[in-house]
Amino acid sequence: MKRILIALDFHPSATKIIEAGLLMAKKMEAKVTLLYVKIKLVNYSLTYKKVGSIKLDSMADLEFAAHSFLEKSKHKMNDNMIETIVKEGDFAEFVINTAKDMCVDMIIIGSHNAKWVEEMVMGRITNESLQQISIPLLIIPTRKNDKKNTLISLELK
Amino acid sequence: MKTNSIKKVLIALDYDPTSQKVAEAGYALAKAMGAEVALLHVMVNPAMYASAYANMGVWQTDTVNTVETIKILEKDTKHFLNKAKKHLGDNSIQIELREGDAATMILETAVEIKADCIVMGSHSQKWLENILMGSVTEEVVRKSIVPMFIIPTKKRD
Repeated sequence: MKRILIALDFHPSATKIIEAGLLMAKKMEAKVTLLYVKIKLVNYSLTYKKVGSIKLDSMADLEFAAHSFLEKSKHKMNDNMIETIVKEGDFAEFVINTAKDMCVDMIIIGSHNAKWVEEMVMGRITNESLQQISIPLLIIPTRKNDKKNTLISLELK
Repeated sequence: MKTNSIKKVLIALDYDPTSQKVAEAGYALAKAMGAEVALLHVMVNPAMYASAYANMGVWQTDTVNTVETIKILEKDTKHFLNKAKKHLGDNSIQIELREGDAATMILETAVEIKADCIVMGSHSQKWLENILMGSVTEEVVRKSIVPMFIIPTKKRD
């Protein structure tokens, strides 16, 4: 194992996934990349419209929040070798494309993404490029009652 | 936290030819983490197999016959697991043989032997079963409380 990709999204368990992933990477002496996939802002604003008053002004805010979350995690783990990437769009697509581009040996994700994994791994995704993945996945169980660590609560009080 | 240390890895194998790849990848992971390894095969409803086998040759499916067939199955499965163990070349590997529903038994065995990680192939070639009943891997991913290592296994492997 030389390269590990840890894929995160807007889920409270992000910190747990990072911790588990980094521990593993350390033992394997692998190089780690943290990939944070934001959903499109359109999706956020649609959701927030219903909630009411939460204000997320611009893309820049989100971008900043994501970056500082990753930097914080990096700092917390005391590892400067970690590479961080923030992208916006479809989770599955970016995770797989990044994994392929970087030739990683393992992808680490939370089990809340398992639906996607199921579809991809079990061959129910119609997109050819997504089907052809041949990289092992490590799935960290994430439960709804995981300690709250959301980007919002950390960065955008 | 459970995800914080991996001391024991449970590798679930079926009769699929891809099992070798799963066993090897799982073993490599365990070694990298300095963890113990257990190989598991779940005999799904041996009584059903047995009666099916009985039907192939002799018309009578009396109890004695069934019990004997189950014994033979058990012996074969043990042989299969031992062969896998030998292939990996590690005498400390633990062998586990269970019977019942595959997903349930994998999860139960993981708890029983205190495994910190479950290794499985993404799917077997029993595509019809997968469509009709949902894949075993899918179910285990959904219910597992320990990390899962999923090895992509494709039909051409």
